[in-house]
Amino acid sequence: MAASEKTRAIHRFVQCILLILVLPLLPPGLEWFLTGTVTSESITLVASMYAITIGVSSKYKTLLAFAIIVSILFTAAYGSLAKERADHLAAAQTIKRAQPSQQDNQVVPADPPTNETNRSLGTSEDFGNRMRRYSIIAIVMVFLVHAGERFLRHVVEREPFWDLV
Amino acid sequence: MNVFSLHLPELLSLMGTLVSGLALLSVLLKIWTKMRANRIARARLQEFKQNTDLLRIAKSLRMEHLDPVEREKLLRQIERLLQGLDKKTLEEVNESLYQRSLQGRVRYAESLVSKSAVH
Repeated sequence: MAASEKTRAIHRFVQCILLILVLPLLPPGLEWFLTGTVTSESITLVASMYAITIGVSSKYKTLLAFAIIVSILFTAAYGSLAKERADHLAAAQTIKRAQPSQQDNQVVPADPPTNETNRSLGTSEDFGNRMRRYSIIAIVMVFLVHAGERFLRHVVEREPFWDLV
Repeated sequence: MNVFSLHLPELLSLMGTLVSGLALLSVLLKIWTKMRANRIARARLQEFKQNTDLLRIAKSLRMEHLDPVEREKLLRQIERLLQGLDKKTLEEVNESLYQRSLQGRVRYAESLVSKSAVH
């Protein structure tokens, strides 16, 4: 009887992991599946939203506080990235407008962007990779944190999960 | 890595990652504390059950009919087990024994009354 109760508890834990922790990662998963990569903006935004949505489903105030801080930091990172991207586009448009009108129809080879320029604009591959790496690490940490909490709640303390009946 | 040379989004992401690492440490600490507390509680409960079982058996035995050496041995064993209990558990055991003793006296009195009625 005790063994079956333990099995049920493990089932509840697995259901919870799938529904609460894995399902919200579907959008970046689809982006990766369809395009072969996930942009640094997307993954930063996912890290921010994932942290806050997982944090509010926590029963421990400390973890909620940590989740809010993580979410705010990644939101700020995303905002900063988006602003730089917008500035980059605005600068590109200004440069384009400043070109003489007779050259509008000509194909002008652009100077290859230096790594420093790209870095300052947040577009270099290395910079994007680092941003992706930090965001993925944070997502994995949030995943493990909540999985640990759910293990405690559903397996150790035998708390029911979605008893809808 | 020079933190001061990092770009703002990168710095923010790095800080976010570090905070999430702290959260992970916090939850691991919580799990460890909880499981340790559970393990101790289970062990204490088991010990309490064993002790109360032993006391119940000792109490139900007609101790006066035991061999004195055996009785002494059993009493020593009970004493040693009781010393291992904390104050609260000991009080519970005492209360339980006191209640049983009262019930025993009532039953004894009832049996005396019934015997006198027969005679």
